Amino acid sequence: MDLAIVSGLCVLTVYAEFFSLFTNVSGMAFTFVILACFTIFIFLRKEVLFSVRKFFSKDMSARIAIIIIVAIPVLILAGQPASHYDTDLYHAQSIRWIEEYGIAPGLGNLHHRLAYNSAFSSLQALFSWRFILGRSLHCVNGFLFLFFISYAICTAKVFKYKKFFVSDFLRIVMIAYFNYSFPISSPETDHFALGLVIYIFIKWTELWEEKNEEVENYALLCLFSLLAVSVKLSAGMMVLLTIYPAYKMIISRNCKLVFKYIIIGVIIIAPFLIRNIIISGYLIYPYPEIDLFNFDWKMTPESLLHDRHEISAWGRGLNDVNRYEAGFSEWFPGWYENMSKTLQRMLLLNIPAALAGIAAGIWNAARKRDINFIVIVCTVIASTYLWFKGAPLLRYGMCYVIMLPLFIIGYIVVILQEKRKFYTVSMVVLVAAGSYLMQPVISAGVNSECGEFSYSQDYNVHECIKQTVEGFEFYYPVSGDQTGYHSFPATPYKACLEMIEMRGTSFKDGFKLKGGN
Amino acid sequence: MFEIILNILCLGVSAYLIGTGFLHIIKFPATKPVFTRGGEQTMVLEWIWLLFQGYVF
Repeated sequence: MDLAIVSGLCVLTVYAEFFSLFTNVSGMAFTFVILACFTIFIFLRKEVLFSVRKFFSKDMSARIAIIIIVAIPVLILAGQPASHYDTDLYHAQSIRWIEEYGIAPGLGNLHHRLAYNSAFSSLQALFSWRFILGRSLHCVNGFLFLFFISYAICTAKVFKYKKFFVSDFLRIVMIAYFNYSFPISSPETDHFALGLVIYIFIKWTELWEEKNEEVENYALLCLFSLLAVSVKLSAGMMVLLTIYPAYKMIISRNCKLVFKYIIIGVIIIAPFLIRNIIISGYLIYPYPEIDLFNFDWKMTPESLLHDRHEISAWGRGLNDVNRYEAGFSEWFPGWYENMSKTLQRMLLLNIPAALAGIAAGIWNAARKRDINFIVIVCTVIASTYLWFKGAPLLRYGMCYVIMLPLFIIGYIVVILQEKRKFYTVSMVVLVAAGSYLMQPVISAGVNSECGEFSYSQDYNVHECIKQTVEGFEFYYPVSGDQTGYHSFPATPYKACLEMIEMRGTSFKDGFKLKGGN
Repeated sequence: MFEIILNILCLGVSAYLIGTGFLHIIKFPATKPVFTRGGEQTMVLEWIWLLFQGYVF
């Protein structure tokens, strides 16, 4: 069932992205989704009902209890105000643009952060229900939280088989990541991307543990990794996973299968790339090095580089774009000090874990002819390195810090338990650790005031100034750079309005730089 | 709060149904036996996939 839900999220996201290329993502887009659901239910009702019955028949009461325990704080927290700084900075504007117009060429010239173009914004716009309620809901992260946490707990193999599996240790990563990543009421993009990343590693490790050789299982996970990349570029190294199924398919000379998954992969990534080109004029933002097009709405390479340096500097805790070239010894001590003691230890553990992982991977490949282990380890190491080298903000990659150490600890525990049983002691430790990890979200839910969750909160309102450009009204903030959802269309800086001109007679025609092509 | 419950439920159910349809259309191994046993129910999806393949290749 979890595979179907993640596949569905993937299809819905890609569908919303494609839809946004033609028109606004609102009532019509949502109606097609409902029609598709009815059609699928009619044609596949036997399978759907069988699967639902199967889900509720096995350990039903335990599963329902877990889902309810997770759902209560989620429902309380998902309705709270979207308090994440970046939501009022650009998430809300990005969603509003998709709700109102779908897309507009050169949008990055008006608001450069809209060029980040996360696929998540399209999914959030599809399920914002603005056309029904008159205001935009922001609960998709609430659903993701509920789904991924419930998945991690309900599918833990340790309870069923009374012994440990490496994949169970990755489930702890899922629980830890989501419980320490607040707020879930904000439509921020990290939850979906990193939730997918952890989910892919859990499933992949499960397949490896089961010695599953069915190549299509791995290929499907690679498709999810493409979606993760379109949600957040920091998940870019996940594409390394494709090496394994590609190698398997090529040696089995199954061209049909290769083509099938290449085509689906292209369909998944294409709307993201097309949207990138339309918004910024570049295939991948913020990488002006890949310069393939020459549209009149193209952003300047300098603005892309400036943005990239800014992301990097903020990630390193420097908070000043001019210091982006600061050496490792300059930024690392301060950055390291700002981490919690637990994360500091986990970060240091990555070094021995990486060495042990590579050694075990080579041993597995040489002795057992199993390259799967080294593929997992190398992908985690590469993802951690990309995060650390690029923009090591904890929000972007907390899961990478804890993933490799827990994977290796799990591997060692699994080897040790073959010689000696320590199930009871380990279970006590596991339940205590799980309860500790769940504590932030439960306490946040318990400490919320009743009034806060009787009604889902709208986006924050920021005081903005209206300015007319070529007869069109724009907004910019009175102070700071946040404009929120309601002042639309907005730019974070007044200076941006002086640099752009309209490309046509409506917002849909887009914006270009004055004196451009 | 009611709208949040409905929104989350709607997203979950539609993701599940659309995902199930997607896995059947691509003939994902776990769904293959059901797909072939499904007879006329899944025939339409199979036709769509065959038409798609014919169009692409």
